[in-house]
Amino acid sequence: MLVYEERLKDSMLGRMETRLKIVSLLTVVIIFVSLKDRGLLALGVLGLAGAALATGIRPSAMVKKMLWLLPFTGLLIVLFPFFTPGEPVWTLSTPLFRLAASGAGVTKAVYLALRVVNAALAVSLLVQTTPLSKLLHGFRQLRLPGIMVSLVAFTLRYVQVFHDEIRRMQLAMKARGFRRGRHLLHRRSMQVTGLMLGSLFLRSYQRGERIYLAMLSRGYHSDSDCCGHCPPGARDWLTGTALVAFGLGLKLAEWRGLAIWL
Amino acid sequence: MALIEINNLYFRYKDGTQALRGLTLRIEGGRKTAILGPNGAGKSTMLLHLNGIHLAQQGEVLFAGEAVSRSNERQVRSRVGMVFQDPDDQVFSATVWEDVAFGPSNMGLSHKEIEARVHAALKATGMWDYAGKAPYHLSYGQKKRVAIAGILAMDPEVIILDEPVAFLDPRGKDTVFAILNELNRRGATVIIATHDVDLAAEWADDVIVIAGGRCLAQGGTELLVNERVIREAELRYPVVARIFQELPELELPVLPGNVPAAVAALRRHLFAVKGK
Repeated sequence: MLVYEERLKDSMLGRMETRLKIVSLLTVVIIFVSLKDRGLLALGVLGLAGAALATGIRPSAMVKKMLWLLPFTGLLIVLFPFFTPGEPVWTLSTPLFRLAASGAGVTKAVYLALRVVNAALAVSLLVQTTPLSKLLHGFRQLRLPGIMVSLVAFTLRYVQVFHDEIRRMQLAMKARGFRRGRHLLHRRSMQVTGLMLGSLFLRSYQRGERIYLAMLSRGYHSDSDCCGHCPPGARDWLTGTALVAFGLGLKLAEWRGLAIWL
Repeated sequence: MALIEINNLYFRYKDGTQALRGLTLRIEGGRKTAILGPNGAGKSTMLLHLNGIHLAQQGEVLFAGEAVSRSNERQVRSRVGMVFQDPDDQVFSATVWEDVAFGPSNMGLSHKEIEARVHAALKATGMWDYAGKAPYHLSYGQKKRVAIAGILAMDPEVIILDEPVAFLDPRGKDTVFAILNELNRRGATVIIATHDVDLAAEWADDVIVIAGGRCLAQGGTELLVNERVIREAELRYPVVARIFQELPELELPVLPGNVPAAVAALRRHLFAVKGK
């Protein structure tokens, strides 16, 4: 899970004003997505990875987070070469069917991979250096519709709730001697899991209700204005400008055709 | 004028449960009030009214003479703080610090003010050393203290606690009550809802007994040794009182409900014996 890390509080990005951080990272991602040169895109990845390292995000943690992307985009990346029409560069022949990967498809896959990695790095830079409350507040100050911000806030809040409830229920089931079946179609396991999911839903609903009341009683309202307005300082502008300048530099390099050497 | 007045309050939940049926009571400012009653008596529903979360469907809830309504509910929430029974319902942020800052942030305070309040609240509850920790790594008692700190940081005039010491170990209970007493000493009105008659008898200045969505009795701790109240509210006598029930030979006019009353009664009896 992507979560804020307290120890990154004093890093350059950790201290940066939230709105400026959101806008500059978003700008960088948009610029990177528009890049048409593979080399420059890869340079972008290196740049952001460098920024992440400089911020203090551990390389192992970074790789772990990338693995989370696999179920979402990994499949697309793997399949792209096979369903994009074009000159075949590699063929898989079996007695039943023949699969051909096209050159254009491979290129497309590489682009997608690089862009996704870029975006993921930018998101993890943002989320890991910003406490959730500040992040949501930043979105609100940037005039993102309140309902969207609330949706994000509650989703994150309730994922934790669901997780806790499942853990408690599983523990209680274990305590009464329940063991999951050895295979997916084990009848009793399926039955118990079904019942558990049902009551998980109900229990989470009730708990969610209590949580919401507890939030209300501490003065929560959807347009809650936390932290006041602290304008960005010179240092924030400097960091933001550096980030955007890095992106613009790459774009400029592409435009002037300076990327031939890559 | 009482700080909080509830007059003929009715409340029915959406599922049809009639939780309050003509509840009328008064809570004085600056006192320690215990609200007792069996499960399902309407205690929690009533508490949610004090905080402006439920609004009166019929009857009225007055805070400092003003009816709690949709127009002033937010203001009431910052003046009346509520600590929920299960700290897991209340404490949810990534760090203890952030969680305690949740209420003050909602009040729209400046960053500096928020920092000062969070610091003071965590110091008062002895949780300052845990400010950077994630709440789910804390023990139950510590989470409870964080939940209380989260309310203290809003600096309310009234602090309400629903079952404040349920599931706490003896040390945890003592800590919570030390915090509450200190708050009360500084002028805050403290209200707790509880099933624990011993606790109410030892701690409270005022006692309110609720049953079936109505106020059964309101007064001092002597209510807790009142046979009719105990029977109708399905409570039981405090342990101290039960000891004296077994000693009819002392011929006490009133059963003592807590330790100081018991000590006073015994002293009187011993001196009387000595005098003979």
